[in-house]
Amino acid sequence: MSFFYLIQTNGVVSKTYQIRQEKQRLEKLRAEKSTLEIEAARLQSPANLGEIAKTLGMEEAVKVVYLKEKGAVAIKK
Amino acid sequence: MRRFTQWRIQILFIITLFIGGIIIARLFSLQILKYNFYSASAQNQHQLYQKLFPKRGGIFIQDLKSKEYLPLATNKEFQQVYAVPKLILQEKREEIARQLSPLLDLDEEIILNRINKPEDPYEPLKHKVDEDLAQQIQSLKIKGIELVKETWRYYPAGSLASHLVGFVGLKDEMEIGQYGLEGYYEEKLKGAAGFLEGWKDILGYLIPAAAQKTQPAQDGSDLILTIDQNIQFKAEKELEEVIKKWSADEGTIIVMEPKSGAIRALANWPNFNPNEYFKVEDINVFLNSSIQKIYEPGSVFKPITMAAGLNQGLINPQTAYEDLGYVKIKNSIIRNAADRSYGVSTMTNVLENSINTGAVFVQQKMSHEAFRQYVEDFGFDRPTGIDLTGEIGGDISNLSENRDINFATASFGQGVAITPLELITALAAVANQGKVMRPFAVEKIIEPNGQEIITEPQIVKEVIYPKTAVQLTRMLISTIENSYDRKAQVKGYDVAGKTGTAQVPNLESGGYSDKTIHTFVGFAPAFDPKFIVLIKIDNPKGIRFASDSITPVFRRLAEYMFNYFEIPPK
Repeated sequence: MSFFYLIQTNGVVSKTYQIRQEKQRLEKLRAEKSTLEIEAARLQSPANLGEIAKTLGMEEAVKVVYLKEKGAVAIKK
Repeated sequence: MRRFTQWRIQILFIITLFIGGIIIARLFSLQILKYNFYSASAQNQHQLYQKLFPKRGGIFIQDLKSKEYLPLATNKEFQQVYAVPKLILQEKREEIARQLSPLLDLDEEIILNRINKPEDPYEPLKHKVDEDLAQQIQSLKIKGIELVKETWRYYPAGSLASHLVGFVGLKDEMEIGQYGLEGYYEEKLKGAAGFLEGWKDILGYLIPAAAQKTQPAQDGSDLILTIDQNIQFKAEKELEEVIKKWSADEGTIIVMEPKSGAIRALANWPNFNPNEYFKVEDINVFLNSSIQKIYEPGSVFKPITMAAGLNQGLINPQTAYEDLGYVKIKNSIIRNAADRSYGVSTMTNVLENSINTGAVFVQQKMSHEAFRQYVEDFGFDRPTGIDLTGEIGGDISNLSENRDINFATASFGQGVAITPLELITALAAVANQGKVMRPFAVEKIIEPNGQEIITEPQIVKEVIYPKTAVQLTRMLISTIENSYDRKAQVKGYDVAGKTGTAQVPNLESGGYSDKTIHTFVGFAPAFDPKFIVLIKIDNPKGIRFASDSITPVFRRLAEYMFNYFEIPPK
């Protein structure tokens, strides 16, 4: 009995340390994910996109043209 | 010999008794008198009690185009640099202060004061240190200078929507949401702390097999805003430009969806960066002037008077009267702006030319009670109920005095003081078939268990008939098309709107000062409105009328939103 108890206790202790390590890894990955989300938000912000557009020499679309269809719009072949 | 032996036994007995007495006394002291102390000390060695801190909920702005939610307020891990002065050698202190000063942006003297405490085990040097700087400091390998991770509230978009979001400050060493959404939704965002009680091993870690009690921390809820990041950005950019152009003191732009009351943008100037709120010298900057400051709106109030007259059936858009340029009320004379007179004018002309006497003409057709009732029903006497901290209601106490002159001036927006949000909410009712909606900034709350609480649009009051709303909308379209407000017109679209150039009361000498406040409220497409916009600037220099200063801003914003929402011209 004592022998089995010893083996079980050893097993529990070993698994506990494994769980602890995995939890630490999980926390690290969570922190990394959060950092990346913040960075993605910064990159997608209109202020940043405006800067990039300016650097690439893009111009603001002043006028949008809407096409109006009369009658059927499917193409007949 | 025998007597000698007995004497020795007696001595030994006395010594044994004495030593035994000392041991018993000591045991009594340890086990009985100091029981609590040693019991607690033993528990401390083996027992673990840990407070579990919840994660504060995030605040997310929308991108209506890509249907994405982007963090406006979140939690970020930083490093804290601290010193363990008792580990720092005296001869090294000055050198360490010299090394760290430029890196931490702290005076050498401040650092030296903090590390010059030989018995001190902990002295914080700098919070919110980013990863790059932390690595630089770590690479110096200074004995007694340590780093530890800490989480702080972080606003990735900086000053964007700062008055909406507010910030998280410290009160009694505890984090607390202040101003804006952080303040209003504090209870939802902060979550609830938990605890962990159990036995710990030699390294201080919890022993899972041992008996333990756990109450997990409950994270805060996430807020998804009605605000669109692109419209918000555009509004802030336009506001900053127009304020700088006319050297105005401050200003506001609000964009709302009239049918629901959802706020799409809310911008005030000057604004602030919530990441560095402690650097703001004047705390008035934190006030959200859209909801926390009242002002006399001027002529932009005339549509309210007109709505009351139309709804009562006392006038119609073609009702005519003769404008002499002034109207006399007892001993007071009310004049039109720039002392102009327009002769015979219809009610539509009254709005087109912003004729003060015309507004008085309408007001005088109804009883004081009826006029006051409409002003109240449009919501000018109380906060709108928006989900932001610190909203105040308007001041229409002048209308309680029953003086004719007070009602006459109120008809064109003088003598009543209201918030910009009250004004846009009231005029949104005209765009929304007469229904006043409660404005709101949070579209949904996502609870930690994933449950979503969606904000339903709420009708506060049906203040005018739909027919009245259509009549007034036509008059406001005519105002944009036929008056000096033409600068707000967008080719191919029906735009309804009205300007107001209000004089600022002189609080010292009474009457009005030379300062003005320019306001414009407009909605489009007029008969199926997707947005209503309010623009307001305080004390612009070198320009007299709102029709010249801010109507071009509305036009640019409207053009932007027609493109953004892909609304084709008629």
